[in-house]
Amino acid sequence: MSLDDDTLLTRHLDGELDRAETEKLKARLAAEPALARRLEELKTASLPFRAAFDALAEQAPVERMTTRFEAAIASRIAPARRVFPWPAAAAAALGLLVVGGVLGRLTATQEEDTWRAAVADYMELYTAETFAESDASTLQKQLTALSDGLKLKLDPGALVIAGLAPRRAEILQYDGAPLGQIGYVDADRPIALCIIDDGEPDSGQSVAERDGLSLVFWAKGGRGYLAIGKAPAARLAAFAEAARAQLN
Amino acid sequence: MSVSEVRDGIPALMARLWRYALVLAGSRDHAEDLVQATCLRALERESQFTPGTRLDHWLFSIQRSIWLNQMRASRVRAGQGLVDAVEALSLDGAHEIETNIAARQVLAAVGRLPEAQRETVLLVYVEGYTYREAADALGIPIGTVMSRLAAARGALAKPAAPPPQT
Repeated sequence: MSLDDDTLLTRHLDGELDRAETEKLKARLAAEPALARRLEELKTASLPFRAAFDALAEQAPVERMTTRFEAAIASRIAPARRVFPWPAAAAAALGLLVVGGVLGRLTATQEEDTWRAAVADYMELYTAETFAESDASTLQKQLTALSDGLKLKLDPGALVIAGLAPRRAEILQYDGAPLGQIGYVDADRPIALCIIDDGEPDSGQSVAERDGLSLVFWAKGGRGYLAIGKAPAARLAAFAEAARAQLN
Repeated sequence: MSVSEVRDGIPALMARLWRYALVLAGSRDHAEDLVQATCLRALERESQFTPGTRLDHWLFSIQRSIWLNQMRASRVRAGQGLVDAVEALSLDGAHEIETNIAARQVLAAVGRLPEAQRETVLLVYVEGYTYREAADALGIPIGTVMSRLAAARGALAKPAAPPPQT
């Protein structure tokens, strides 16, 4: 029996012959007893494969694998969410897709955006009460700490932005770089102005939206700036514009 | 959304991924690691999944490529070689119920097939791939799928009684 015939019979048993081929095979089977016998032999190899492997699948450690998988999702959600889901849709919505270069820049900055995404992550939890007003001397102390940390002169007067007075200031850090945050409240909504001293290259203003938060950010003099809040995009843009004019 | 389609679809497919991983990797420990790596890779690439297409086939192809490109080579390098598939494709436990006896025999027979035939048998006879789909999944010509299955059938077939002497 030739290998070609085994292949032909296998295709027949697997339902992979077309009608003409089937007719032709039937004629040959009628005329060639050896071929018919070989067909019967190969038919005995039609074993209950599926049932056997289903029995095997029942022994799969599904629960343990699922737990591992879910743990992996949980530990990944934070970093995954740190990548802004903006490039095409959001940028287009914001009218930024004027030239290909803009998209290129947005995509390129995605990877470096971890500090902004980290801020956005916790910013989601903030309310106006988070930025309860500090008294003048406390605020002054906070701003002094911020100025020292960021090596940037900041005084309360210069931080009145778009008619909003700073409420609270704190120094955080991201990946070893000092990250200052100044809290504002606009129409009962928290807005934060963040400054990081991470030596990033200068960049013009970019806009993003994420989970109900508006973001405007830029970089100048080795520092990254971010205005972020639950305020409407236009309101936040005005705030950012004023901040940029006053600080840079 | 493709995002939730991948993430939500994975748990229901884990047992099938594991059994394919067992056919590829030949040991339960490695199979489990391979499934885990596959699921994570799928999450990373979920934007590449086309909603409405076969998630199972997509995951299988990711799993196969991780096995071939990463794990297989490192296992061979580590001197572990490839475990006897007959041993890997066996059922645990002492319940010698009748269905399991048949299942054991089938698994052992498949385990004795050469690696390439074993994988093709799994895809076509267990997972229900068409020849065309199997050829695409394995990156081989459709004729090779046919000859592998014919060879597998030849090996698994019971010889018929000798033809009557004339």
